[in-house]
Parts: sequence; C-alpha cells; structure tokens
Amino acid sequence: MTSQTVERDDPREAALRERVRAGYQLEDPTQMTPRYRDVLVNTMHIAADLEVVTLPTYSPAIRTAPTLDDKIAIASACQDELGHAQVMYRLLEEFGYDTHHFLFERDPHEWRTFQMLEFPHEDYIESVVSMCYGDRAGYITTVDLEENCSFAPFARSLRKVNFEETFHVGHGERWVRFFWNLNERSRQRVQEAVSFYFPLCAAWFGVPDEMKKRTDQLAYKIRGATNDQMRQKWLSQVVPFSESIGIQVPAHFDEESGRYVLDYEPPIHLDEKTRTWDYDRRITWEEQFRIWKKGSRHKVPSISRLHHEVWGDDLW
Amino acid sequence: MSETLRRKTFDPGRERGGAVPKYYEVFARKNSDDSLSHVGSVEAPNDDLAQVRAWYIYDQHHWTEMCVVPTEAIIPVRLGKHSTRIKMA
Repeated sequence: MTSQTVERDDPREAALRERVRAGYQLEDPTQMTPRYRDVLVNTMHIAADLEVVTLPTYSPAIRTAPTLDDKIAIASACQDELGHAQVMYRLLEEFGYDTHHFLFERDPHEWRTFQMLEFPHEDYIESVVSMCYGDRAGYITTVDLEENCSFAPFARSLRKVNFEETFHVGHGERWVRFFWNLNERSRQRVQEAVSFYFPLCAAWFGVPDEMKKRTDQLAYKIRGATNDQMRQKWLSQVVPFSESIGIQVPAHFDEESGRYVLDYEPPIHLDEKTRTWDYDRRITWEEQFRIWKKGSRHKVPSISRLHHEVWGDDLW
Repeated sequence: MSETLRRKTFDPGRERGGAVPKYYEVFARKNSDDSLSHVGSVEAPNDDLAQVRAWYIYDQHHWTEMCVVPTEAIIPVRLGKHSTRIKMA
C-alpha cells in the first residue's frame, strides 16, 4: 500500500511496465519487481476478502428463503464463493500468506471489504436483487481481471470464478422478474431492495477516474479498464434491464453524451439503519472514505461469525 | 453464547499434514474428446483430503475425469534456462 507512494521507480520497474503493455505475462513471483508484486498482492488480497464476506452476507437468506430450492440456490452460491476464495488463498500462499491466519485469526477490522457486501440480506428478495445487481458488478471486475491481468496464474484461475458468477447473475435476473410480477407486496420489496443496492453497486467500482491517485493497477496491467469504464459497462447492462421491467433506478442514458449517467452526484448520505439514501444530501469524499474504511455496523460481527461459529449456529 | 464465541481451532497436523503445506495439482476433462487439463491446485495433508478438496473447489463442470497429483511428484522438464515448472493455477 504505502510502497506506491515511496519513490522507487528504478529502470526495472519501467521496463516491466513496458513489457506488460506489450502483452507479456508473468508466471511466478521471481519475475516481479517490488512495485508489481505490491499492487498484484494487494489486488488479490482484496479479491479474497470480498469472496469470503459474501458468506455472512448471503447466509441469513438461507433461513428465510421461501422454498427448499431457493435455500439450495443460496447455499450453492455461498459454496461457489468459498471455492473462489480457496483459489485466491492458494495463489496468495505463493506470496507468503498463511491462509489459516488470514481467514480465522486476522482482526475483523483489518478486512478489506466493500460496502456493497456489508449488509446481511434480510430476505430472499434482497438476495436475488443483490445477485442481479451486485454480483454483476463483481463479475464485471473479475472478467476484466481474467481478460487483462498480466499475472497469468490469476487470470487463469478466474475462468472458473467467472463461469460460476454468470449463474448467480442469471439466477438473480430470473427471480427479480418473478418477484416483480408476483404481487404488489413483492414488487414493492424488489423496488426497495434495488433502491438500496443501486448506489452501493455503482460505488463498487471506486472513485471517479479523475480522483484516482493510485494508477499502478493499470500501469502494470493487473487490470485493463478504469473505474469509470467498468461502471459504465455495469450501467449499460442494469439500466436497460431495469427499465424493461419497470424498476426505477437513479440513472439514465444521456443522448447527448451517448453515455449512461447517474441521476445523483456521489457521494451521498446513507442512513444505515433504515437502508435509505438521501440523494440530495451530498457528503464529502473524506467522509465517504471514512465510512468505507470503517465498514458498516455489520462488518465486524459478520466476520466474527466466521471466526467463532461452528457449523452455522443460527442456520437451522 | 460463550460456547459459540470459542475461536475455531486448527490442528496443522491433521489439516495440513505438518507445519509445511502440501500441494496437489488438479487435472480434469469434460468428455473423452477433451484433453486432460490442469484446472488448479489444492492444499491438503493427504491424498484422500486432496481428492475431496479438488472435487469441492473445482466443481464448475460435470467432469468425466479428475485426478490429483502431489506437486512434489511432478518432474519439470527444462529446456536450457527456460522453466517449464508446474504453475500455481
């Protein structure tokens, strides 16, 4: 993290950036420069944390899912996510990580999670909305890594990850449609869940490009697209999907610029307790960074569950 | 409640086969026309658990064949200075 701010751009660093730009892929740590290694490990570290926190986030919905099939669908998605984490742990071990410590002993406050995955699902509708909108956001970032990452073992390992994520997104879409058309109450709940998740998902891709200070991820071709390019890709999928069904989302296609744009200017205020956004109440980026860094009030209890709970105490 | 707050215990001897992790490479094919391909690797203390973990983690397809090979049993074929060792994923 801090090493990126330290000036140590020796000729080897510039030479490696040049080579990866030309399509060169690395196969093991011996081929890396310090800065490359830092930005790669940081990226994989966050990716691993994000896979695991989906478990406490999705698992409450196993209890509340209406049918056995739905319970299996959620449990199966959790199993997929844990499998993805295992693949990333295997890679991180090559860089000196101890998986057991990383997963079970590390202070929950130190986990690098994103706000989108920090709110345990209150019901099955929230889970399918999260799959449809949130897993899609995750999928866009992991596909970018699979297609562009210059560290070949990571890129290869994401084939499996992305293959499975398509099922989550597909499952989410199908059930969002179903609940939208089921009855007035379920339709209202879908709208409520989308209204909560939409700004969380749009923020998944990070700060706007013009604010981005760390650019090593792109310079070393750990990933290929910028935050805004990925956000645009996500908007270009979820806005037409939502409009075709009738779900209201705070974004639209702007004819003039030929791009999808948000109807609000982030960052905005979120009332965590009621899970509602105040679109007119802008907060500063400093406040937003503080909120992201601290995590939601569910973050630490969720991760502690992973550390202490045996066989899912409150699951059955 | 105090019972559930007990931290999970970890016995490296049972789960990892010792202080040093042991790795297995996983190979699989979807059908008989497909080549047997490297799909990833797992850490396991013994052959039995390696099979279980490979099956659990790499379950993205209905494979017709899957095998695990201890990484240390693989002899890399080298051409001059070029390393062709088994890669980590």
